[in-house]
Amino acid sequence: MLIVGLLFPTLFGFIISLLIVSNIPIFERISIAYGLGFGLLTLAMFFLNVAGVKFSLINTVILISALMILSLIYLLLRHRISCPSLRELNVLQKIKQTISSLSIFEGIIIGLLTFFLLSNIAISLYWPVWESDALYMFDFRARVFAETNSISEAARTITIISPSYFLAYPPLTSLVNTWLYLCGWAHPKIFCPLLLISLAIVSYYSLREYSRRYHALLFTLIIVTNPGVYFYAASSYINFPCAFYFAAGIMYLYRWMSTQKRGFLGLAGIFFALFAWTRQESIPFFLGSLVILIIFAISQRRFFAPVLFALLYFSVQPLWRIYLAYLFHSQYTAIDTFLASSSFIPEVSGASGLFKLLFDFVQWRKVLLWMRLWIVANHRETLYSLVLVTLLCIDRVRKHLFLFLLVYLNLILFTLASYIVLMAWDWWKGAGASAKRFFIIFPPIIWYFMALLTAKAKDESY
Amino acid sequence: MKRFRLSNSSRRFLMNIRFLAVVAGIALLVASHQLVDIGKYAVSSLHFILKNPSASYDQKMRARRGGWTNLAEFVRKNTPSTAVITYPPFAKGNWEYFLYPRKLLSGSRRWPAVPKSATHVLVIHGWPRFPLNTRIFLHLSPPRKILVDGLSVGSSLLGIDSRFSQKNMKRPPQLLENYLSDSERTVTHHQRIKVEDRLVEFIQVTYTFNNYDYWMRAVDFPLTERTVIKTEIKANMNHSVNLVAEIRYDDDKLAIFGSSPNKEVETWEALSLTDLYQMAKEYALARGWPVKKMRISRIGVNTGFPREMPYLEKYGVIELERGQPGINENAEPKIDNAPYFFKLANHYRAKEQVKKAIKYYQLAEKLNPADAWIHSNLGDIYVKMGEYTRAIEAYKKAIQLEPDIGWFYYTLGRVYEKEGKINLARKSYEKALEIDPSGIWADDALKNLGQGKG
Repeated sequence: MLIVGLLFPTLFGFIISLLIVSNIPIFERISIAYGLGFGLLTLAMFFLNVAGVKFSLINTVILISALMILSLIYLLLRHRISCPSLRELNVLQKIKQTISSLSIFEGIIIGLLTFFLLSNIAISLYWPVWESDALYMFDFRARVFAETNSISEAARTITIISPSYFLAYPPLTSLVNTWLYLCGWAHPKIFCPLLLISLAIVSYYSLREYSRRYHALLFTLIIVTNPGVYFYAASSYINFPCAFYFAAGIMYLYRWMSTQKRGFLGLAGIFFALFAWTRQESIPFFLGSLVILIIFAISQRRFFAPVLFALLYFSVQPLWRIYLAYLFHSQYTAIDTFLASSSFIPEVSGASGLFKLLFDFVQWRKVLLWMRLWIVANHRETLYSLVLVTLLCIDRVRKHLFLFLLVYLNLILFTLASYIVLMAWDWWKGAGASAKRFFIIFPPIIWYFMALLTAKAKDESY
Repeated sequence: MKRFRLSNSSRRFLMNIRFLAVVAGIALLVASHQLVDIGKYAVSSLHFILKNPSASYDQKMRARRGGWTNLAEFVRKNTPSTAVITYPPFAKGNWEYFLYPRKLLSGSRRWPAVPKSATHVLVIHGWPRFPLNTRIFLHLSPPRKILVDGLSVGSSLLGIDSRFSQKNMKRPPQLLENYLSDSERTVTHHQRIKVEDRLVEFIQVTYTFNNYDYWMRAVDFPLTERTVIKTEIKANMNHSVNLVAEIRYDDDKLAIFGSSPNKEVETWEALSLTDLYQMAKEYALARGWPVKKMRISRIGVNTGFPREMPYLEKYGVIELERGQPGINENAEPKIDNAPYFFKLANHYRAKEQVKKAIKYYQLAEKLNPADAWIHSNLGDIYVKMGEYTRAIEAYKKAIQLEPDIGWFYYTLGRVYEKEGKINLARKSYEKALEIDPSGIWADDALKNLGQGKG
């Protein structure tokens, strides 16, 4: 049953991935399937619950199975899958061939990757959920969801934490844990290390498209062993799932821009949506990415692309807010303080107000100092390398211009968001650790960008 | 726009520099920092795992989160899932996670009470500093180490000691037997040991719950006005042990009388029951028993004497007495004793059956007049009945017995305030604050004194 708890969502994700994208390597598909499957499973659980059906293994399995069967029928009717295509996979033979062709350098990297990924699994399987925030919210929610079989009921049964805080974060990670609890897992930390493997594989294939194998492997190792990424993949915080969905979203968005391969844009949209389903602060980064996509779409006359991307994102992003608004208005007598105080952007009047707001140099000094203390100090290697590599490879930036824009614009947005948040909430200064954790969404895309800038293409030599 | 272009030689040079800088830089970064950092983390984590492959959930949580998870686990095991637990206002930790589905209510620093809906109270970090009507107090406490010497029945006339005095015995008497107990405990040592050239009895016992725990020896002496029972005690914590004696009445009725508890820590201290005859006689009259023949049938010590305040046990959970089922109101005790009646009185107090509560507090008081909390609780009942003079008497008696408990001064002050004796009330509050500066309610009472807000 424990294994089924992992395989079932992956199978679901696998089938959905077949609907979205075709002709990608099997390992990449499985990696996508894992992140996609769990994310969509939590959405299905949420919709079931909103429809008044309690969380349970059987209810979820019935719904997901029905969706899988319908998808398979569609795929068979459209001849997107067939028995010969399965036979053509020849997975074992391909693995054998790959292993025999590895250089020593590549072998060492694969050895290190295997060691670190297996260690991450071992650490996660061994330690129960012990991190403060997870005990306070993410995993606590999962336990209460699993016990009460309902989100609204869960909010009613808690006592210390206010329901608004308890339900403040979107539910992806909590519902994943709920699912694993329902499947009999004593503690649900297995989700993140397997997601780290998915990130490694997705990164590898995303790099492989533009670079040689050793290069792709080297940068995959750097992405996976980034201390923030690696550590939070072994913990129960929501930061690593955020990092995965954001990184995968950016990678597939850029791959779509550079290859125009059908399905990649859809994948990017869904991954961004799942990022929003994990953390509400996704919106500035989505908007930043959308702006770049719009510029790209205009230049390429692909006007439908931003619409599809935004449609996918906004089909998920507001769900949790709408649900909370409904829940708190219908079940609590007063409008909850959380909803009342959720807007942290200071009110501005006119252009001069906006100018004053954005160009308060005293505030900027404070913010930059704060960022140096919490962000730069903790991600020194990544950020310095980014600047160095960008300068050294300035002539190659043009080749990956849109990725450059995606990375830098998102970093600028993070700085701007910190500026505004710090202006509205002075206490956020004390929450540098939270910002540091949040920032781990960036190292994978930063290293991905650096990898592409420094990559030797198959037909290129330095 | 003019296109940016480099000459071929410049381009080659830049490429080579770039390749070296980037590849060498990355190799350095990966080797020197990321891999070392992550490697250290992975290896140390794996090392712990390999060293403790089969550690339990509790052990792992203890390793990660510290000792408070022990208390969380203890509370979880010892409270029903329907419990409503009040916890300290300043408590940190993820209590709700560990105690769910029990409901948690935050206690107050300013208000010396717990919400009416609470069924339990968490004892931690020196909280609560006010008394609670307790049904059972389960705690995680260090062991009590008690040395007993010279347990004897004697006479108040100088020079006359009983034949059973240990000092006069050639052969030491048998070890005390565990006679009667309302406790949960583990006895780790019970033996005779030599301390400072004295052969003394040593009891080491760890309680998770202790209402009383009588270790006694059978004797048979007539009880006279001159009878004195005494012993010397040395214990590792004060207020943890008292001297007890069982009296057998005419019709084989039995009652256990107790002395005040030990006041000292790690110091030999004499405990005695000097007015046992008077106590026994008064008790028999109160119970309607004949008093012609009263004999001492057992003597010993009560190692399970409750501490002055629950927080002194440091960590635990109190099940509040709310008049809930679990106490057989009609049962007569086999052997009358103060803690039994005190518990019964608390039960009736919670049920607001004031007369019955007073009756049992008074019986408890007669069996152990040296227990300050019996007087204090009686005082509370008198306040409720509007009998302030009697309440003041009871509180004063409690203060006389335990002058270091700030709470008693606070309650006394409240009665003075009700009687309009503002100066006396002020003095009492000030004394309460002097003894326990963290008892903010006394400070509040002082500030509001004479304003009718008390």
